[in-house]
Amino acid sequence: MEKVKIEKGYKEYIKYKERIDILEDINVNFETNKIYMIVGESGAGKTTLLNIIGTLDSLTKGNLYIDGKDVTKLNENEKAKLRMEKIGFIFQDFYLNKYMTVEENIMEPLYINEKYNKTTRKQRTDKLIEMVNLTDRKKHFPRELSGGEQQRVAIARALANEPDIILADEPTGNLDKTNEIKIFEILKSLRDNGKCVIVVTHSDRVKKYADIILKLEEGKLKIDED
Amino acid sequence: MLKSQIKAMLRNKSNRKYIVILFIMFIFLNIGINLTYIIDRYYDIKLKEIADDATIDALKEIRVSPGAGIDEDGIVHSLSLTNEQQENIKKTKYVIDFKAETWEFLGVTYNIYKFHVDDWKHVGYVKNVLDKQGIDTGVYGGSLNIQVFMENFFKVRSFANVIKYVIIIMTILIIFIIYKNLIKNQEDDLKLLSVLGYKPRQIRKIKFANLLTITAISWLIGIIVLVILFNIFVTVLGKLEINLLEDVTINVIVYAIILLLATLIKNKKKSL
Repeated sequence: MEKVKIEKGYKEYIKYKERIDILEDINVNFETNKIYMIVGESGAGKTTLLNIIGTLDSLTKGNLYIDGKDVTKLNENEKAKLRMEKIGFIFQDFYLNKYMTVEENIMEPLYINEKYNKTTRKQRTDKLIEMVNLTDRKKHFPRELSGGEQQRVAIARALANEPDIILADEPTGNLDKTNEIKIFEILKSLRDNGKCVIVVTHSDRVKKYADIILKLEEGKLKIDED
Repeated sequence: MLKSQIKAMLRNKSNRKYIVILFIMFIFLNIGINLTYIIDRYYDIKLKEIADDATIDALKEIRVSPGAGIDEDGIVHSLSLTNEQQENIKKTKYVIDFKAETWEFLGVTYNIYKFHVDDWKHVGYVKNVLDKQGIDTGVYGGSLNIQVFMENFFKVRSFANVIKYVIIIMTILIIFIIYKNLIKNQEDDLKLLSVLGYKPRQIRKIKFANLLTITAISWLIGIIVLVILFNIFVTVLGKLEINLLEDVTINVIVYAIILLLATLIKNKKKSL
């Protein structure tokens, strides 16, 4: 099922009165039950593309569709609601709140979801913590966890509101091989559960986990035949 | 939502350090606001040690003696203040009563106008106002002791006025810098909330709740310390009344303006 679509997408920046083209004529669909990997050199625009899909940035020209709906012209409140309902983010540096426990970090997205009250929020959080095998660490702070554990907390947080789209920017960039495998096992199980997983990476080592690899080169996106 | 954000914010050591600096600044700000008032009360108490009530009363008196003039026929006659001048004096700030009297000397009846000000410390102000209107005034000088005392008071008061504004400006600047740093400390966490789907209005609410919590805690500690200092002052020097409403109003206005400026003046953008 098609989840995300970009049609004739362009992205440019103006810096010191000079136009810099980051993305050119992007036409791509992303479907559920697949792991997509967007590869390319550093500075190719991979994170920019991910941010555009996640509505954290916007196209200069073209349209972005999520679940068949054109979200290009949404206002900030509507974009925030969309992110809350449909998109989960995972970052290379985890971006956990250093001063919140594992439990509090995972609960953060649930406060803005009207579906949950105090009791169900706690239940959902406990379920997510169990899913990533961190029940005995739920009162710990990020500084007391390993890199792999922190990324598992970040994944649990990303899944809090049951999004259909998972966007991961170099999710294993700061992890060793063992933890990398664990993280991608989790991403694979998300794919198998009907999520659309889009991973940005410049590491060749993780390509084997992808169903489809897309290469971003000179602003253009194409399927990596290699 | 707010509870967990505030808890996290207070766990940050650097925010706790800012609370300490803020409560110290709160104390300095309030000392600055009340500095001249404290000095006035101190000198009131000291004056009572060297002068009795009658002398203090006399120190509040101002006299105007327009004197006498000689007309075309060479006859000396008394000069007097016009009605307008008399009304101006009565309306002058701090003047509380006004009497017109006469005094005879060498066959000439002179007009003398006497009035009191509410506080011996306001004599100088009223004299200046009347001097500018071209009205010569005389005051009771008192003994040498009292004259030295008064001179000393006006010097110290003048200096304190300058110090007061220096303290107020410095504390406002420091408080502003601290709020900017507090906002900067929150930046990454607030950006993350946007990624998680928090709406701009919700993020603003969290930002202000954090800042107001820190302000409230620093005020609470500051008020406790000020009350202790106040009680020490009162024990040593006697009765002291402070215009609490005025103090609170000034603090609220000052902090509100600083907070507003600190949130409006944007930091450099940083991306996640």
